Amino acid sequence: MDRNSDTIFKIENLFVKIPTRQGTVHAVNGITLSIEKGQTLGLVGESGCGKTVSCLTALGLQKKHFRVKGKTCLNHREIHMLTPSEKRRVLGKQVGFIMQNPMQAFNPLITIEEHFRETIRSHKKASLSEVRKSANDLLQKVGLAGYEKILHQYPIQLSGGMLQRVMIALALILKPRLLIADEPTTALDTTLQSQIVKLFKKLKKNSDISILLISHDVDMIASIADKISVMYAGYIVEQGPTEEVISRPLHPYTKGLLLSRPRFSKERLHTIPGHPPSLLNLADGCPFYQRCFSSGPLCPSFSMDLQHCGNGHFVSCAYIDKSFDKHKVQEHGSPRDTVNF
Amino acid sequence: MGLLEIQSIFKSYKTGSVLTRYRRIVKAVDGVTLSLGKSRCLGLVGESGCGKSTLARLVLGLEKPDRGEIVFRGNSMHVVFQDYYNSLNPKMNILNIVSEPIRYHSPLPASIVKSKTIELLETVGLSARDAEKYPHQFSGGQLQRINIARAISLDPSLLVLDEAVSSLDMPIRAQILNLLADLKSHSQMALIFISHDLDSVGYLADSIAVMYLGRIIEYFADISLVGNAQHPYTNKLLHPELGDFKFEQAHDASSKGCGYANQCEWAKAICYTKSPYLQTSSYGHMVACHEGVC
Repeated sequence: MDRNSDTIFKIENLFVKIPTRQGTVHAVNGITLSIEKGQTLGLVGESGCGKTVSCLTALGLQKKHFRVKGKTCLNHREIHMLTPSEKRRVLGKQVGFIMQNPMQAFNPLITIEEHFRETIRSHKKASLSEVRKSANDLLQKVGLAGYEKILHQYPIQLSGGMLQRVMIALALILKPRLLIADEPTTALDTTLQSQIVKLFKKLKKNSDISILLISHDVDMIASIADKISVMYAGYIVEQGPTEEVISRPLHPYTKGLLLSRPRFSKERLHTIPGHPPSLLNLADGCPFYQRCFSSGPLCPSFSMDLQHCGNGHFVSCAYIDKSFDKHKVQEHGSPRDTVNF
Repeated sequence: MGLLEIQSIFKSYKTGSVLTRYRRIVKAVDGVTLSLGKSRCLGLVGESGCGKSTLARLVLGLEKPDRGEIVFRGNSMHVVFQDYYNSLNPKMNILNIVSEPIRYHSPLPASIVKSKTIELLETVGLSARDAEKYPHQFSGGQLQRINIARAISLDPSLLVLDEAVSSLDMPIRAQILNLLADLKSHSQMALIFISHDLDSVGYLADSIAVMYLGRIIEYFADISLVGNAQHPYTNKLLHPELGDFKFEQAHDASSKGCGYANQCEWAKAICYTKSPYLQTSSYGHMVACHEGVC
């Protein structure tokens, strides 16, 4: 237990099955994650691979008809054992949540200040001036210094980038130990994306908050996260330190994902043939093998267990191929510095 | 003589309602001049709200310009939008969706229409079996392929792609980008590729126009010139990791000067009073910046 003493958030062997009229959707098929204090974990995967479902379920926020198996612990307390009022008290205070769409996460009828007031006062007593002071402090932190009038504005009066920052400020106001950011940059422009990325980096540097970052954008995750988990069809197919996974990907899916990014050059893009499988009545075995360029007879019955490959790098593949054409995946700097055509 | 000539077009919208005080005019497209040759791809880059889509709609004739003119010398043009699902009628099967333009424009026997449609589906990487299916049976990438199949069904001389790959996941986006690159090289089609993702634009485009607040602020006739980008905004787009933590400010349409001056680190007094014109900086490279051209 000594090794795990710093673990803030832990998901152990989580399964989520969603019964529907057409059959059972195997949304999450046994994932295990852990985040230590001050660590940032990036969860990468295509849309519909179960990223959001797994983190909502881990927090006990799933819909009632979901069938859940597994265990999640926040600060060594098992979340599913909590009563609703305890859950509200514990999760609301210790976990900050940032949603994908900043426009839809706010109540359009109340001002930004009221959002802050509501958040703070549902967990502790605070006077209005205290609320204002802490809100202003945080707005300054997220790069909205000198925008005091924001507090008296309504969400509709702010731009998407500003709202996303206000949401980050709102998520941080109770000093949570864990921040979950579900696609925080997807709805934003390129320039705003880079601002939000910078904000996360600053946050990481200046505090010991743990962050679970969920995105389909490998580049964004790689620039922030300490550890990466790659998710495919409800399984975690590869997991390890960012450097390791980006420079030496072992799972064919991760390789394909890294090679398919356009790089501002005319070099033909590598593609993964086909499309992700339907999670409805998902068969056993590796869900990727029909799209895989190195599949073999073991794949249809592969158990999808993660195997350790050194340096904290885990992969679930029946045929682990350590060779990877590094020339094709360019270094993580800016390829636009040397534009070759 | 290019395929498409856009001569200083303007388009503005009035926002707010008559009843509110906050009524103002948004200059969505503010004097844009562009031309596009046959079988070329123009990449249009800029952040949301800069007028990229309005420019596309003006080209397509879906909006009427306030001033200026657009000359199109091809036979037809078609468009692919970002929202692949809502662009397709859920009550029609794929055969009917893709063949609709053919049926409408050239009265052919049903069997020929069908074989032509299946040929189109195969071009975009779908199979004949898919013809009988309905949109809800497909994934996002496949739906975008169907949109592309419909868009190329009449062999248009211009295809406008308005953020056509932006909402797709990376591996699927790569598939669609490769498909578009193939279409471009195998047919004589010209493309206008609108995106805020510079990397995708760099893969597909031959020339790039950078838009900011309704104006073209930098134009590269050839993509190899992007290396000498001069406008500070273009540089910010190319290297978003550089630069400091400045915040976007709502631009007032009535304000004089360069729209980017508020955020520009190189802004001088002239930038706030006089708006820069698009001027040739070197061969095939135009930039609208007081700093860059001087």
